[in-house]
Amino acid sequence: MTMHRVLVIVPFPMSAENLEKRRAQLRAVRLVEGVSFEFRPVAFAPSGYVSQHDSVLADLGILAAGVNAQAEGFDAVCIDTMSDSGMTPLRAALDIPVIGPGRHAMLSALMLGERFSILAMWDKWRHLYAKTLADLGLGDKCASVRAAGLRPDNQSLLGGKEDETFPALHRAALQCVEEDGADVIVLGSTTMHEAHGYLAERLPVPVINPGPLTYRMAIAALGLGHRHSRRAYPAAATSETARLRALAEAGAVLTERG
Amino acid sequence: MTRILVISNTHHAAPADPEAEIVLRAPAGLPADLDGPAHWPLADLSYLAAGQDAEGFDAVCVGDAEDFGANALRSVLDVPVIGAGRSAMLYALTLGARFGVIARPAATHRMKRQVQEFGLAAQCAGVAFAPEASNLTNAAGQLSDADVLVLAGSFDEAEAQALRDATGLPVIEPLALSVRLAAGFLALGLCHSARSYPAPGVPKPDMIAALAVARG
Repeated sequence: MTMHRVLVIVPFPMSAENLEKRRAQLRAVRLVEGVSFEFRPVAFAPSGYVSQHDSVLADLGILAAGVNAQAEGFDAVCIDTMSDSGMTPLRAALDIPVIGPGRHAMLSALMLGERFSILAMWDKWRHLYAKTLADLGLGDKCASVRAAGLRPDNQSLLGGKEDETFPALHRAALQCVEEDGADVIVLGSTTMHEAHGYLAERLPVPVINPGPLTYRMAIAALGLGHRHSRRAYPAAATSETARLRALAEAGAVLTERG
Repeated sequence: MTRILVISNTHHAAPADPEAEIVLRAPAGLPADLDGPAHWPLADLSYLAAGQDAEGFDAVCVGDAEDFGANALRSVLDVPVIGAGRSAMLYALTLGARFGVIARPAATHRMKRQVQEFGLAAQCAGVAFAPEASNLTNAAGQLSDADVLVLAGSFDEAEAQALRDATGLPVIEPLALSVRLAAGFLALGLCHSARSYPAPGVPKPDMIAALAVARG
């Protein structure tokens, strides 16, 4: 059997214990034999994804973490953030599928219904969704972006806060459906995966868990031999791999110092 | 093992899938001429009749890109129903910013309509037609703004691969994709939205079946 290795890039530096919380997304989906998923945190990152300043650091951190993926023997890359940070430059750099959950979740939502809403933890992520919706030209398919007014924790996720966070997310999601007309809910962050089961059981519409979706999209792309278009993501004329490696090393040192 | 019902008018074999048993069922009573909207309701009826009894199946794919009957099947089935055409166009946008459709002549008008209906006109570089597989590369040449190509009208995966090799572009064969997506949605516990595809007030499966076989 052909073995395929998929690199999952986690958008924050983190401990092994917290990385396990990200890896837990694998348990939310039935996978297939012959495809393995390896989670790798970036060497450096912004403190949060709340501004355009942060987006620059996020793009660079994820690009640096994945730019050698093909040379390392990986067959596909999944990015573990709904912002799709780093997806575009990685697609330009790599000939293997690079899957961003934001783009894939929104398009998959439209395979299941006419309009979708994005359910966010807090309002400061709104600019991330606006960017992807504008890029896709599908803003009119988005019924709403609603935030539950919860401060996210990109390390411990929702653990220990379920009693507060799950009902708040459910309330906001119901508003998406009943007031905004959403046919499908897209979780606005892969960090919200711990709430997916709770919400899917209680909401009258499909709820897309974006991280696990990317694993299945990688499996589909590998099975069908698909990868992104070179016309849309042209390769660079020169390589900056060495500089990106140096940048990652410098970023890791700064992250270690706090 | 997962069982997926594929409703398709294709003359090709059903695509294999490592996770699922695929059962191919042809829609009965399809009009000979589908190159225009006059007969599309009859085609909807044929596909709906072919798929409405999906007992024992975990998902249903309307495997032809024209998506005849797909929305109606979604309104009567509570297992995932995948419309190959709609899914292929949306999936194409995961791989590039704009897609082009290459259709058999009989599917060209329908695919143009589908692009409009799905609200994807701005993302579509055009719909070109290819009477035979040997015309695919020429048709692709008419779609120079397309990042990704979607086939419509019973081309098979080998023909898709040949077009990939000739153009260097991603080429989507909707039937094969629909099966992979069905398996993926099942693995994720996802189904189409009942809010987009509400159940009929009074389902009439017997009437659907009888109308589908009525002949003049």
